[in-house]
Amino acid sequence: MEKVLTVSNLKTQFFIYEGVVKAIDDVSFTLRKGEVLGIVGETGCGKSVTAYSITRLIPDPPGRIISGKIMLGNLNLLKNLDKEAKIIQKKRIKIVRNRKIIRKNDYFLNRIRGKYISMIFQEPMAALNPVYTVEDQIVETLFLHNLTKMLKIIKSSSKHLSELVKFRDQKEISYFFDDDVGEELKKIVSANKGQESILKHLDMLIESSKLYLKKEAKYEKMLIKSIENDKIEEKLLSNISQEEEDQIIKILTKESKKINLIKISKKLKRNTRDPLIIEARREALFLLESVNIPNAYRVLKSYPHELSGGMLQRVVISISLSNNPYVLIADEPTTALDVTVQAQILEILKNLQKNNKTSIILITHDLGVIAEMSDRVAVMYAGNIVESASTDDIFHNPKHPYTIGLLQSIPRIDNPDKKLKTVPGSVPNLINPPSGCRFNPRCPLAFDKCKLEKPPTIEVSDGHTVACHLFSGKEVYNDE
Amino acid sequence: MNDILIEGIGIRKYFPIKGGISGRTVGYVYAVDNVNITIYKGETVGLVGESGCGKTTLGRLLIDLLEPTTGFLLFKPDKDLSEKVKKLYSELSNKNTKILKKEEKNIISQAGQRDIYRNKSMKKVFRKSVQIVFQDPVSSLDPRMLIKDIIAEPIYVNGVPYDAGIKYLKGEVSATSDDNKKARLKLKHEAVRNYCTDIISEMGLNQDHLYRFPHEFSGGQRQRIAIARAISIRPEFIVLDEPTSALDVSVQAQILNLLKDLQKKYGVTYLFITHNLAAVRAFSDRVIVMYLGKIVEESTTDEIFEYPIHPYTQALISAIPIPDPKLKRNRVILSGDVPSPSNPPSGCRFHTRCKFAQPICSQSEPQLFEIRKGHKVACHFAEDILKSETASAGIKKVSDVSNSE
Repeated sequence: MEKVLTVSNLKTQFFIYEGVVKAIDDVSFTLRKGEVLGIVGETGCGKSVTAYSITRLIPDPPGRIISGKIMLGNLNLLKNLDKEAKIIQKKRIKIVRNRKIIRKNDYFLNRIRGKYISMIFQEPMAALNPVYTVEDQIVETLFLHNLTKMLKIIKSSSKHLSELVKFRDQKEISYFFDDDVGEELKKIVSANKGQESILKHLDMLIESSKLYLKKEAKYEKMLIKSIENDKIEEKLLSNISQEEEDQIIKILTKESKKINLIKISKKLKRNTRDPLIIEARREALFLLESVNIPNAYRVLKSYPHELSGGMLQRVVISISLSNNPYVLIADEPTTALDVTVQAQILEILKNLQKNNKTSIILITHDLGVIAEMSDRVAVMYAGNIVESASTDDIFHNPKHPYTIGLLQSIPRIDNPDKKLKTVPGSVPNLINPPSGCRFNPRCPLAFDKCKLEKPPTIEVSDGHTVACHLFSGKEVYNDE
Repeated sequence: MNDILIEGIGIRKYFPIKGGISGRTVGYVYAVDNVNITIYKGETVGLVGESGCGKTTLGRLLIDLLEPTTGFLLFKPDKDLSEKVKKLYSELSNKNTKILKKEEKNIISQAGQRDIYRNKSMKKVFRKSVQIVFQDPVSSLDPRMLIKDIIAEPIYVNGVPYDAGIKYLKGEVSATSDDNKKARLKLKHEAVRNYCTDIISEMGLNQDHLYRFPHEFSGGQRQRIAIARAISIRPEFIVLDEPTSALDVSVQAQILNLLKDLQKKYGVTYLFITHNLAAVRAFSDRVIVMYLGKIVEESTTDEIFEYPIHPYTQALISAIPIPDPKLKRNRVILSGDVPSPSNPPSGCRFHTRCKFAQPICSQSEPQLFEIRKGHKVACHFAEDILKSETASAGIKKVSDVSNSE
C-alpha cells in the first residue's frame, strides 16, 4: 500500500525548570493509505505529544522537536528544524530561537494543517471557540482551504440557475447534471435527510449563484488563481528537487501571509452577501448532516455551550473532515464521552473512513476501542514504541512484556471469574528515565542487559516489531 | 439471604433551579426520583449509568452527605418494619392522598425514629460506620496536610476503632491514668501514629510516605491514600464514587485488587459507582442500572451481563467495546442524547430512545418488579422481551459468535 505519512526517529523534549523531559525518544512508524493506526499507552507515555509533533503544534517554549523526519508524501515537515533553533549546552541548556524562520514556517504550515493533516482533539468543549457559532467555525476552515471546490460548484450552479429554481418549485430533484453541481446534488439526495434539507440546499445554491452572476469576472479570476495554488500544493507533496521545493514554499508563504484571519472572522460575523460564504454555509450544513446530527440547521446557528458533549464531538469531527484530509489524527476522541455516545461516534468515524478512504491515527488508552477500530496497533511506553503489529497479533500474540501486562490488567465483560493481573509500579518520571530499556524497573522478565542497553527494534514476524532484548532477529532500520 | 445493611425507601432529591432577578425557583432537576434501594451486608453493589443520571447523588444520599427532598434511610432495619414502610410507600405513591389512617401514621412514626435523615442520635452512630472514596484523588486530599494527618483525621473525629484501640491503647492508658494530661495525650498520639503506619503498609505504601504531602504522589498512590483514610475507622459501608476513572488501566487493576483484599479482611460493604461496565463485571456481586434518576434494572452481575432485559441495559452493555478484534457482535446503537433531567419525558423515561416503545410507554410509568428471582426490571414489555430472542443481546451472544467462528 502507498505510504501517506512516515515518521522516523522523532525526538521531542520539553525544557522546564526541573530539567529536560524526554517525552518522545526515537519514535518511528508509517501510516499507509486508508488504514487506521491505533496508538495505545498509559498517561504520560507520549501519545499526544506524538500527535502534536506531527502537526507541529508543540508549544515552543518549553517544548521542542530535537530531531527526526516527518514525511507527508515527499515533503519533510521538519525540514527547517536546525535553522529554527540552536541548543547551546554549557552549564545549563539554552535555546536560541530564530523567530523569523519560525514565523515563516508557520505561514507555510497553515497550508498543510487542516487540509492535508487534520486533528480531532480530546475535549470538544475546549477545541471550539465559545464566542463563534458552530457555523462560523466550520465556514472558516472551508474558506481557508476549500476555495476551489466551492467556486467550481457556484460557477456550474449559476449555469443551471433556471433548472435549480424549477427543482425548488417542484420540491423535488428530478435529474442530475454532469458537472460539479450534479455531483453535489447526488450527494445531497443520497444522504437522504428529508425534503426540508434538500429545499434548504437548493435555496442556498440559488442565492449564491445569483450573487455570483453579478460579479462574474471577479470570481472567475479568483477561481483561476486558487486552482493554480492547489496545483502548486499538490506538486509540493510529489517528488521534486530541493530548489523547486524552496521556491514553492516561498510562493505559498507569500499567499498565506495575505490571509487575514481577523478580517475573515469579522466578515463571517456580519451577514455579507458573498456567494462564497453562502456556499460555505451550505457545505457546512451538508457536513453536519453527514455526521448524523438531527436538526442540523438549528445546530449550525447555536454556540458551543448550547450543545452536549457528543454533539460537540460530532461538530469537531465534521470540521476536521471538511477538506478531505490525507491524514486524520484522532487524539482520544471518545474519552470524555459516555459508552453509548462513544458507540455512536465510533460508528460515524468508521463510516467516514470507509467512504473517504482517509488514513486515521487513533490515539487512545482504551484497548476496546482499538480492537474495534484499528488495522494496526503501536504500543507506547515512556516515549518509545515498544511493539507494533496488526491488531490481531497484538491481542492474540503479544510479545513485549508490557503489552502482555497491559492486556491482562483490563477488566473484561466477557470474562467474569478472572482475577485481574497487574503491572506493578507506575510510569517513570521522564526527566530521569531509567537507563537501558525504559520498562526494566517494572518488567517481570528483566535481566542485566536491560539496564545497560537500549533494546533495538526487531522484526519478529512479518509486520510485527518489538523493542525488547528477549527477542532476536533482524533489526529494523526505519530510514529505508 | 444476608442481613440488610442499608435500606433507602422512596428517596427523592430535587435540586432547585434558581432564575430571574429575584432568584426564585423556576424549576427542579429531578436528580433522584423515588428510588428504593437495598444493600445487604458484605456485598459489592455496582451502580452504573450514563453521566447525569443521578448515580453520584444517590451515592451521597445513602451516606447522608446530602439531605433528600423526601424519603427514608434505614440502617440495619427490622425486616418487618422495612417491609411495612415499603408497602405503605408504594400504596401512597399510587393513591396520591395525604390523609393517613392511624395505623399508617404509627408505621411512619416508627420508621421516623429509626430514620437516619430525621433522628440525630441515629445519625451519630451511622456516620461512624460509613465512609466515601471520591473520584478525583487530586482534589479530595488537602494539599496542606501531611499524609499522616490525612489518615489520622477520621480517627480523631470518630475515635479509634475498637479492636485497634485495644491493641494500641488499653494497657498503656490504664498504667498511666494518674499521670498528667499531657503524657496521656502523647501516648494517644503515638498509638494513632502506630495505627496509621499499620494501615499505610497495608495499602502498599511505606512508613516514609506518612511524612509527605499529597502532591508528591502519583494518581494511583493518592487513591491508595484516600482508601486508607476511608478504611481507618473500620467502616461497615464504603461508597466508592468512581474510584478508578481518573487512573490508567494497569493502576486501575491494582486498586480494584486492593479493594477486594480489604473487603475479604474487614468484611466491608461497597457501593461501587462507575460508568465503566467492565470494571463492574470484574468487581461487584450485584448491579443496579440507573437512567435519569430512576432504577431501571437490578440483578446479580452474571445475570445482568448475560441476560439484560431492559432495552437501556441491552444498549449499554452492547456499547462496551470488547478488547478482542476477533469478536464481533450486534450493536444496539441508541439515537440521540440523554434528555434533560429538569424536564424528563413522561411515562417511561427511556421511551424517547427506546426501539420497543409503544404508546403506553409515554403514558404510564413502569414500576420496578421482580421478573425472575433476584432480577428486577422497570419496563412494560419486560416479559415479551424475555420471551423473545433479544433477551440474550448481552454477553451470551458474543461468546456464541466466537465459538462458531
